[in-house]
Amino acid sequence: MSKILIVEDDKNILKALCIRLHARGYEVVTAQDAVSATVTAVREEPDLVLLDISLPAGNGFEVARKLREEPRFLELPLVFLTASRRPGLRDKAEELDAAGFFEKPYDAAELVARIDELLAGAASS
Amino acid sequence: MDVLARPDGPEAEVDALRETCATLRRRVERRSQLHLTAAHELTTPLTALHDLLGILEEELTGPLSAPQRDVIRTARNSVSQLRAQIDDLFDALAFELGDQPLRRQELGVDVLIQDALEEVRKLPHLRRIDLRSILHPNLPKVFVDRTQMRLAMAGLIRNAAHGLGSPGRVTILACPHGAFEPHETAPQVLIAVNDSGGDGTSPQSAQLRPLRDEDEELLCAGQGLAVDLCREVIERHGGRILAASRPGDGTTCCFSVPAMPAAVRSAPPSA
Repeated sequence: MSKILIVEDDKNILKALCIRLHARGYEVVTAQDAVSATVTAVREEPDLVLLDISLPAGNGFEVARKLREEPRFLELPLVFLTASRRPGLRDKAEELDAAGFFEKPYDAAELVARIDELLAGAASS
Repeated sequence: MDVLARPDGPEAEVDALRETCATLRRRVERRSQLHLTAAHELTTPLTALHDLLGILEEELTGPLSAPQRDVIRTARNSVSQLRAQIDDLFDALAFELGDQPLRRQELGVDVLIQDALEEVRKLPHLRRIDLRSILHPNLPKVFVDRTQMRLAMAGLIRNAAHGLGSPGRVTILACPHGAFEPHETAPQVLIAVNDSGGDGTSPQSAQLRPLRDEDEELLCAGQGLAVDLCREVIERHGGRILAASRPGDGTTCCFSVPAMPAAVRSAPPSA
């Protein structure tokens, strides 16, 4: 069973994502701020991280940069989520080798399809 | 004599103008920041609401009765409407912030429509709407501010798509048109955005017709922020906006944009 780390500070969105991904058969671990996101990733070694950009104690890009510094996380698929309309976020995500970028309110079917695709690719490689 | 008073003269005036510019720039930046924060804060609970209702509708947490399913579908539609209103509101605010002189350029109507469709296709909840365009083969170019027109047209298309079921259809039609008023000498390009109302109107039957006098009574006041924003942009370009709603024909919102003036077309390119 693939393990997904969801990093999201809004507990209602976190709940929705947990229900969806559990229902899809994934194991889910969670973090609600930038510091615990990195700690949880190191401890849990997820197969994919779903990463909100605006977070307490930092932001999703900082988390991504820290993870990419670790050789074992160089290939880890990072899927960004954001409710922000600030320009340039997608470009920043691409610089960090993002595997996906979704604006909120996301299309749940598209998001889950992308996660399925990434994890199926990881499982077969 | 007040030795601390500013000296009079051109230098003092320039300093005062610089100070005013800096103050205005700071004010615009603060407002822009406020809008971005407000957009984020409104989108976050909307996302949770939309997804949690989706989870119920998809019966991921257990089976639903038919009336429960109906209630949830209605609630999701309301959330989608709220999302569209928020998008329109922030587009309007962005337009107000960028209230600058028009940066006109010569542009094909096909490019204009393509820009707007790309903007609309970014929205996940509108991806299932069938968006089509029908262009007259001999359309003159228009002379417009591309950014402002994209914003305005995208709002109008979103407005047309708003409330359509899935699969719904929005058709954008464009044709050349004469001037609306005697004092308007420039030829116009008429662009119409028609929602099919989900009744399966074929694009072939969605023909443009000359606007009739009674259409004036159907001016689209009160049809939402998107139309207000579009009217503002179109009127700044010297065009007009009208809407018509006919039973079985969906709603059509039409606007005109002056075609590229001959004087501009024939002018040598500036260095």
